Amino acid sequence: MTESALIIQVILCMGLLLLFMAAGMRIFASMIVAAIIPAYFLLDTIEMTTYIPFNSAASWSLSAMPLFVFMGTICLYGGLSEGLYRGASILIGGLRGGLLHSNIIACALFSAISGSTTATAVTVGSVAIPELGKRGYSEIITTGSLAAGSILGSIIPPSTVFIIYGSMTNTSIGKLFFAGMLPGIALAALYMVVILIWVTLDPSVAPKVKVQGFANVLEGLKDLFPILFTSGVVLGGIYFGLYTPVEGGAVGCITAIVVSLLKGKLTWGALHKAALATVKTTSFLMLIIVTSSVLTNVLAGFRIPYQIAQWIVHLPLPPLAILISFCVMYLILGCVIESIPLLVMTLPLVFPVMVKLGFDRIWFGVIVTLLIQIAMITPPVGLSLYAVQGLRGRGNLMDVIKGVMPFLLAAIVMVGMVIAFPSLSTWLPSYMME
Amino acid sequence: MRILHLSYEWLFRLVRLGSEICVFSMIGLLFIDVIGRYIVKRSTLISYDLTGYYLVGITYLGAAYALREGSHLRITVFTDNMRPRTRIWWYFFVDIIALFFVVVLFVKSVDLVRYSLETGQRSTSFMGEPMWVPELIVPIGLGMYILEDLRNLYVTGKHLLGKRIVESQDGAEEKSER
Repeated sequence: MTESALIIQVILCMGLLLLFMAAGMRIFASMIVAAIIPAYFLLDTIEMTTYIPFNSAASWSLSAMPLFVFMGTICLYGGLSEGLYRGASILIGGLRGGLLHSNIIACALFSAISGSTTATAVTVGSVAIPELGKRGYSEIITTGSLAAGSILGSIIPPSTVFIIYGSMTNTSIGKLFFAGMLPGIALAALYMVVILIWVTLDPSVAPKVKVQGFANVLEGLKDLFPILFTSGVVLGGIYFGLYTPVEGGAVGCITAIVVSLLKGKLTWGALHKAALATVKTTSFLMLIIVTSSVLTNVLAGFRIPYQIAQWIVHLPLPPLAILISFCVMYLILGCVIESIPLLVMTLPLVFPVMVKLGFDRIWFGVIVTLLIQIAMITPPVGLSLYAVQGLRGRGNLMDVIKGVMPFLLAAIVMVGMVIAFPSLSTWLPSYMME
Repeated sequence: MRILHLSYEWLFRLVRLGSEICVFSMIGLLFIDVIGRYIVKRSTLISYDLTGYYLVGITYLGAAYALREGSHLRITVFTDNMRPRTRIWWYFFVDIIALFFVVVLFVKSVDLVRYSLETGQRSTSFMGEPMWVPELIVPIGLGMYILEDLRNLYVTGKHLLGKRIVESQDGAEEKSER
């Protein structure tokens, strides 16, 4: 195929997709339009639309997604996350910067039971924003730390993004979960360093705090126990090979239900609400994934991913430069496209290149997850920014954007660290039991 | 008209209930499988296939509910600059185009069910179930989605042709102030 024919096909498929997405068409519908039109006119067949909607949805590995969404919502509606913020503030609130660190720790801990960034922002933010406001913390740093902390939801396992990446690239979801663990913890630590520096430079943003006594620390641990226990059962079982990530999701759901029952907080209403929330989230994500599979099939019909991979691999550039170019592309696209659509749109084109260049697929999975999570906090289309501003309910979105900037920089530094030190993401999975 | 509305709501809730049942069945089946493996040293042998079918159920039977709740994302960075009424008109036409392609998917999913029925396709798994049964979930879910989208378009169109508009969360739907 000539280069010009390739360019025309890419422009037709991706151009139509971007055109309809920019026009405000629902994302899954834009994908199906961008698949059907070129397939009908250039491939003379739309047969892929017959079997792919069923086959790609009937996926064992993607089944982990509704399970972890359900587990997170049961923790939310079943009262497991109630003591989370209080526990985190008792344990860590004595540091310089006080409750701002609790925002980060609470987000990191909630991430260990929920795979969703927005759920993390809403759960922690709904408690933290009024609490910190009452105590005289600056709203800029409060909202910024919350929005930034929420992206830990998709980096610390379990993570919806890892499930989608693993399913699309045929990579072990269990290994991806543990590959995200250290970068997630390191990012949380980096955020805390940002808070320390910010508070040192401008002490007016956070009031002085007193160090908690031992009895209070025990009280804090008691508050955190339900969350730590539930995530321990899930992640421990997966790590030691007792069950697969999909089965781990089901075990996590039952554990969350039992712990909520023991706390006396679970009602039929909460179960019903959690099921509906699961249906809503799963259906919208799965329709994007299914329609992207149809689009990927059309792209493969034109041999576009293969041609692009060949073309890029033969560029006179070192592999690292190509990887960094992709990182820059994700950062730019992340400003205007939501994280999951960005992932499913780009992965069929980018992943074959990375494999051809010889990069580790788990390592690249962590890098791409970090990058598309950064998209959640980059204006103008950063869902976490809107979620936190929505919870705040007053002032200007610009405050949240200002507040998130130093943390955004820290997240980009984290991407650099994972690139520079691949063992940050590959060490833990290498000891995992099959 | 009222009977039509009530019947439609009844159908909508029935399909939504189907998706909720899929969530609980998936959890139950997988949990039983894990427990069975470690306690009675036996596996159900059906969880691999059934779990995939439950996911199909959640995806398609929940599609109309996700639409009603405004969960199917749009990128609004460009349309946000339009005037509210212009934006609703814009979404109205964009949604009509999108609906046409969802109808294509629906027709194709019916073709798949018909093909499986005619050729007697069965799963190669332990259960050997006829494939048209799980495949039928796709046209049912997409059919419900199409009906819900048509309802939205009808409501939007009716209000665009005369009454004052109040924007909803989704931006495309609206309610009359009166």
